[in-house]
Amino acid sequence: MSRLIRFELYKLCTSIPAMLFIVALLLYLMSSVFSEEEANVRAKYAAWEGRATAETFKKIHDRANKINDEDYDLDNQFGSATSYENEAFAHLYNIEEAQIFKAQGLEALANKTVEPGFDERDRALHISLLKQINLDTIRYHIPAEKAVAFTTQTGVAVLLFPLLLLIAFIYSKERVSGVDQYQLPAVNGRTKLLTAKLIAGSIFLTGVNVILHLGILGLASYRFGTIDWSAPMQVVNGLTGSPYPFSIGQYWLVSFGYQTFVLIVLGIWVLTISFFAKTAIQAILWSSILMGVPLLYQFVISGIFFPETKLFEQGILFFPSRALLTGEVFKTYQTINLGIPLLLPAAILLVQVIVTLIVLKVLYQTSRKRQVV
Amino acid sequence: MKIEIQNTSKTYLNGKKALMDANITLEPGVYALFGENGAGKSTLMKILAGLLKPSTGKILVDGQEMSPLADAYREKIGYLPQDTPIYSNFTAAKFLSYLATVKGVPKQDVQTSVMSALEAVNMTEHANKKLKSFSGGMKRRIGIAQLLLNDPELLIIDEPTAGLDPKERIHFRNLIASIARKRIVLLSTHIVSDVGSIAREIILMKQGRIIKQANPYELLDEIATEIWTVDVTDQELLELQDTYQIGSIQQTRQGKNRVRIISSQMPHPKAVQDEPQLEDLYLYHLDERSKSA
Repeated sequence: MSRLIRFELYKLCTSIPAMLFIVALLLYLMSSVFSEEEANVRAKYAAWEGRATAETFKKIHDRANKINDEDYDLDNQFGSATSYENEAFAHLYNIEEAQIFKAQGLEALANKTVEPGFDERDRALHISLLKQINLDTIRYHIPAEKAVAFTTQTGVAVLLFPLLLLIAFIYSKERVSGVDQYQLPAVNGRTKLLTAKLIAGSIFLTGVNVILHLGILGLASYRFGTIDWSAPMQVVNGLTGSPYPFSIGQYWLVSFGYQTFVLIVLGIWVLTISFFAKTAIQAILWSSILMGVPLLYQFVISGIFFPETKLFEQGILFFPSRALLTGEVFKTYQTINLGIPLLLPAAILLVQVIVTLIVLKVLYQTSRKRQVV
Repeated sequence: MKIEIQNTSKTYLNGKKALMDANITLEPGVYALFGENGAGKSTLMKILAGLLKPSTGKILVDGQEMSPLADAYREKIGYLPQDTPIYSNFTAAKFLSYLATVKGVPKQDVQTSVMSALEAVNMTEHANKKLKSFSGGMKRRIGIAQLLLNDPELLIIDEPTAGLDPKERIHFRNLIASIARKRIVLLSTHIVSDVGSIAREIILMKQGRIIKQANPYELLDEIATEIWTVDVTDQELLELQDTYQIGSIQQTRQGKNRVRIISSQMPHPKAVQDEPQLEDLYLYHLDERSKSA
């Protein structure tokens, strides 16, 4: 089996599009993740490090009001320093916003009347999570935030989708070209080879995700030296309302594991599509629809093209291409009622596991009896 | 090894009957499948290779019914499809190593089996070249090489000589003759001269049915009185073509046409009976015009 896996990996890794993609990915990481202005923003931010009290935030607001006053820099003596300071404030405001969300959340939950049973357990879980979030300190977190933002938002999906399309292309082409006529009559050419393909595809996608994350980590460390990952994940833009008591570093690791799992799921689904597609174009088209349509929700006017219901907004996250965006999955407190409250990220994984097991069963059954007409 | 194909038919989903009630017994030796395109040769071969499920019928291996999908069966076979699909970015040796692994060749034997397969098709010097740089004939030879990797007992070969030059075809014929001593080789071809001399039996297929299966000499004897040769002018040739089944035509030194004619009657006053050849057999049984003649 290990030899089969190595050959399947060789097929994936030696394809010219894969190599071009990985080179482009590294170049992109190197060129665009961190701007030269970060050091200047850091200097402005550092002045506010310490206790994250209401008094501190009042001072920040006062300072922000001052530097943004029309009369403040008439002679333009501070130049771009003002913009660096404003950028630092934008990040600091996230901490304040997260504090407000936490306080409001706890207050609302405390006042909420709930029925015994699921609702009561759900409230207890929510309160427990919120209480564990520590937003008492301001620590320079921008490098960690940028690294996390890069790997948890839409960019990562856009980066990884071409690889999935590559898998669809390579495996569908195998059938279209007729190489499977050598494989299928061979003793290892059906289920064992399918297993090897699935494992190789999973290793390949995991490897690329590791490269992506290590690339970010390496570049961030090179640029900023030691990075402080200890700030709560709520300081990350867009996650101020998140109920999860992770530090940015913990969230980054959880997100990596989550994405890797979802990528493998998506890889299995795409491989299944390529298994049934009659042409390489068809495989790419179907895979694009599987990955692209759930993602489109983010880029088109949802009210026109998609129903604006909570069920839909949460339901769409169950599609792997959306679940890759862990920034959305971990954004708010959502649970599914299974008697006990099941947190949305866990529910998404559970559904994906069930669907994937069904897909695998169909795939293996078809593989055992596959014909070449 | 003995393989019996019993009452085997294949009807596709669109209703097309590609194979009807085939009954064949195969024992070590070369079996040549002759038939026009669409006669059912590839269907029969794909059924034997486990690539198509028959609609009815069964396959017995040494007297035991066995599914072509069973591991024990698949360990015994080698199959070469009509085309020669490849991974263009693999070298010849890597491609064969890959297929050896897929065919279940033990790790320690892969290198040896790959090198001996390459040697068998005279491709050793190209072992480390990428397949995308190969000509059609070279790719075909790699396809033939992969047949030998797992030392199969049943070789199923669809149009093996397509794309090979005359020298390669002779080499292939000799190769098949040598490996068929202890193995069953079932091959289809349009080029009857490639395999006629080495075939233990010839199987003639037409419109999904096996119409003849016998030793080549027995089949040739059946048409021994129906093959004629005559030297004719161009005008006479045109007249003969309108009436009779014409085989090969050769130009003589005298500028005439030496024509082989398949006919139960003497087709021309000067026609003389000739010894039947496999091409005549092919035309006699498989060309529609032979019946009208």
